This record gives sequence, structure tokens and C-alpha cells, in this order.
Amino acid sequence: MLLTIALICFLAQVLAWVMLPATPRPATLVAARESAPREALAVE
Amino acid sequence: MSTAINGADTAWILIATALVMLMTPALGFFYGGLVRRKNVLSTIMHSFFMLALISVQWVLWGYTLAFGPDHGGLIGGLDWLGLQGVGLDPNPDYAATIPHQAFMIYQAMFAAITPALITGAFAERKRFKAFVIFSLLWATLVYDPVAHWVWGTGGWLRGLGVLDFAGGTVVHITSGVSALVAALMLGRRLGFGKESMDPHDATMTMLGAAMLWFGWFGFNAGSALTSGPLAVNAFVVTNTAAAMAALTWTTVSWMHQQRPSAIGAAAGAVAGLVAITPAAGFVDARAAIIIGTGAGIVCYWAVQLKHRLKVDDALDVWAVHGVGGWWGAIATGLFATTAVNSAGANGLFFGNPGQVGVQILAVLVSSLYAGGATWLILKLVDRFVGLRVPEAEEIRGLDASQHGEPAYQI
Repeated sequence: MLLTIALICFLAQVLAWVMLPATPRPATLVAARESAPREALAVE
Repeated sequence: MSTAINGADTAWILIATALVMLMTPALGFFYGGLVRRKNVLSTIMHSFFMLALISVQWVLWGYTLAFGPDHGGLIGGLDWLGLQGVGLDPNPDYAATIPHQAFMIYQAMFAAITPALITGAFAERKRFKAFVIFSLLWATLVYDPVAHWVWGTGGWLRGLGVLDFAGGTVVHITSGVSALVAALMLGRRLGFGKESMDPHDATMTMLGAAMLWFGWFGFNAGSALTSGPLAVNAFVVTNTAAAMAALTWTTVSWMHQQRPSAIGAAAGAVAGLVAITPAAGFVDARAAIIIGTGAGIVCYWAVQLKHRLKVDDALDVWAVHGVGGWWGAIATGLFATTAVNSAGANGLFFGNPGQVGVQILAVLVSSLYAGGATWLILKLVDRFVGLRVPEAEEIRGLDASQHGEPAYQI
């Protein structure tokens, strides 16, 4: 019985990962990056 | 009972002690990444200082109060004050195959991390002096007695048959409930709900969570106090529950907020580790998957409830450690089996529904005592020292105002 419940717990999530839509980048993070000073983003 | 020292057991407990020691600075990094950059050093300092503070308190009087000869099931006596009588021979009441001092120092690391957990609730606004005095009083008046009730020879909850393998009740419920009380008594941070209080360094939080996961093998598998099969079982279920809770929190946040949060995965792993802590020596890997799943779900929604109620438990100590601890304690009563540990008991799923009642009693008693005592201690500290920094210092940040040191020069 515990094995059945454990399998459902895991496989239900696998199914959810398949069904969930691709993730849009959160608008807040985009805004934070675009407002940061250019030198803070520069790569040496 | 044999009291011959076993080299493998002793080596394992010393290694496990070092693993648990690492968890307290790891907690500092986990919390440090979650606060704003003006408070990161003060947040890490809370954990680092706690390790030093409680290490000394434990040697002087903490250990004897928690594990010393029993007085009425409530507290240990002062017989082992300053470790008098705590030598290098085994104490068969606690661990028959390792030196008594090895057991003592292993337990010291549990005593140190427990009050450090609470610091996440009052992060970014508590006076350092108030933190020091509160922590010393809390360790003495809350941790030491509850450790005695549950783990001490003669402790009254131990006598009732409460199962708490590695500290679900002693460590996580006491700290989680105390964190909620502390957050309510200190009040919200300035600007709470109006300005961004996003984590300043998510990578630091992820690193801290990974180090906590690593150290937790010492916390749970070390609690077997031997290097045999029980330690292996605890190690396996600890890793399994942490993994399952990390997956579950990520899935739930993905469904609820349309993004698989990385910090959520870290918080989920910690929630799973919390929940499996009382059960690690009593359940098998299949139960660990169920316990991890439950932790990922209930702790995630506890965080949402906290937001809705506008309680500023800054770093979710109550939601992860309090609620995760409650779930873990009750789940132990559901899934425990003597097939894993003949010295334990069966739970509901193995024909012993009464164990759930005993576990719920321990949850209620430890929550009420920890919450009430924390309220009293904070009232006292506020009366004599003052809990919160002045507004100007809070705006300036605790790194500068409390420690006079910036965290970053870059």
C-alpha cells in the first residue's frame, strides 16, 4: 500500500511536469536586470 | 548491557558531529542569501555566534539540564555541571558503545543549531544584544527542558512512548513555533508589503541549502548512535524525503505561480529534511517518499498563509520548521514500523493507531510550552534591553549599525 501511494506521489508530478506550460520569465526579474547599471552586468 | 567502546561507532559519531556542526554556518548562508544585502553579515553572524555561544553554554550547564539525572521527568539535575562526571567511558543510558563525551558533543551541535533556526524570524530588525540574551535564555529554558522530556532518561514524553528519532519535536517544532511568536512580538520590518525585500543572493541560499542537506546526514544517520544498519536506514530515508520534498515544492510552485522556483526547491529540500527528522529511524524509503511529498505541499501552503496573514516571519521559519515539524511528528505516528527499528513502535499503518495520539500530544505540549516560554523571554528581554533596533538603524542596515562592518566591498 505504501509503495502504491509513493508511486502515485511521484508519477503524478512527472505528469504535471509534462502538462505544465513553458515558463515565461517573470516581468519583475526582467525589469530588475534592465534597470541595473551597465558596469554591473559587464563581463571582464 | 555491554559498555565496551566500539571504534567504528565512535568514529562515525565524531564525523556526524562535524557534519551537524557544519549545518549552523550553512544555515547562516541559507538565511544570508534571503535577506537584503545591508543585513547579510548580521544574519550570518547570528548563526556563527550561536555556535560559539551554545557550545560553551552546553558544556557549563546545558548538557546536564537536558541529559543529567532526572528530576520528576521534567529536567536533568546539576550533577554534570561543567561536565563533571561526563568522562570517556560510555554511558549505557544513552549510547553504550561510544565515550560519554562523544555523545555529549554530538548533542551540543543540536543544541546550537536549534536557537539559530529562530533567527530567521527576526532577521533584519533585532538588536544584536537582544539576540544574544534571548538565545542564551531560550536554550536554557526551552531547548534543554524539552530535550530532557523527549530524550532524557526519565523524561516524561519519552516515558509515554513519543517517537522523535533526531529532533522533529525537540529541534524543529520548538524553534518553528518560537519563531512565529518572535515574529509577532517584534512586528513587521519597515516597508514590509510596500518595498521589495527579495533575496539579495539566491546562489548563497542554494549553497546553504546544499550544505544543510549534506550536514543532515550527520543529524539523522548519526542519531542511530552506532555505525550499523539503523544509521544506513536513516541516511537513505533522509536523502529520499529531501529529494521528494524539493521536487514537490517545485511542482506546487510551478502550478501555483507558473514558475519552477529555484529558491522554492531549496526551501522544499529543507522542509523534507525537517519532516523526516523524527521519523528517520522508524520508517522505510517508501514512507519517506510520502513524508517528503506531504512536506513539500503543507510547507508551501503554510508560506502562502503567512503572506496572507501578513506575518513577517522573515525567512519562513514557522512555515518550514514549525509546520514541517508538526507534519513529520504526526507522520512518524502514521508510518513507523518495528521492521525498521525493533526499539521503536508501529504506527497507524502498521496496526497501532494509538501512536498517532501520542505524537499529537507531543506536538501540542511542545508547541504550547515553546510558544509560551518564548513570549515570556522576549517580554523580559524587551523590558531590559529592547528587542528592536531604532528605525534609523534598521534603514541603514544591521551590518553597519550593529557590527560596523559592510558585508561586501565590491
